[in-house]
Amino acid sequence: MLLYQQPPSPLNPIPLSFVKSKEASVQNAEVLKKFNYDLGKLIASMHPSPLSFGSEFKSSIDLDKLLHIHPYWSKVKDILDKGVKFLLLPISKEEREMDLDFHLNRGNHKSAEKFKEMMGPFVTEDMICGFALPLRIEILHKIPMSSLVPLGLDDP
Amino acid sequence: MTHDQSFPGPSGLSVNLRLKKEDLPPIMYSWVLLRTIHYICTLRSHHPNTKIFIYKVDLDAAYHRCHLSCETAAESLTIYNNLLLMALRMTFGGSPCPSLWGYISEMLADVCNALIQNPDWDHTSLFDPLSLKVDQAKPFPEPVGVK
Repeated sequence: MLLYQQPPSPLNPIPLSFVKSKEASVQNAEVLKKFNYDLGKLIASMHPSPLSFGSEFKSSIDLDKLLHIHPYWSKVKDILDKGVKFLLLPISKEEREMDLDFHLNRGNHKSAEKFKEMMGPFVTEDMICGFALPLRIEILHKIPMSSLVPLGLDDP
Repeated sequence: MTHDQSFPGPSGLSVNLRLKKEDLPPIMYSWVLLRTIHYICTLRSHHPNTKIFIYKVDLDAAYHRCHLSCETAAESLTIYNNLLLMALRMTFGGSPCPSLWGYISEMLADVCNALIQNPDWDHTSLFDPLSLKVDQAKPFPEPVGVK
């Protein structure tokens, strides 16, 4: 059977809710809590699921037969199997906590407020499509190695 | 919508400022126009009277096809309307994203070129079934002076 003819693997259902609501954020936070707020462990527990890395593509094992000679294949295989990872210099726990509190108090950029009518549908779409996981704000400090960043919108 | 991962807190160390840039590949697709022009000029010089076809693909919401690792998802949290949002796909504010996307886009381009140059490929028998759902392209008007 040729690669493109192979049927996709069946995916497991996920116990998470991707809707813009407080109830969904509470439910998701409870699920994440069972895994010590470790997204990796949560995703592994459901594998294969729509949240699994590279779930929209053929498996890296299958693609390896076609792409193994490409010089970037090992990098793309890593992206498919583990997701994109930013290689970052370390930051101390104290600095991280200080930054989290700062961004929590400061909020998003003014553009996010100024264009909130345009911003809302983008955020909602991200959630509905499963590109952003809604959680309770209260668990912010419990997520390991977390960073909070402000949202903004380019002047339309 | 942008996750501003350059904006630092009191530590002065935003996600983008902590990035190890030396480990990133060059963003080759930023040169795509120059590369295409060179390619067209070379083709024209070798084949002065032949039609040149060009194909451009726009990958819809390309970054959204690409999962973030768990570590990077935790570094990409935002708050909107009292909800904490964890980005699960590549963000538009992460400075390494263009370079990292290059791994994928370069491979796509190379696979396309390898396929075109493969004499064993019969496009009438081996093709993407989704291509049948694409509207047939309209015939291109014959350019003046080209035979």
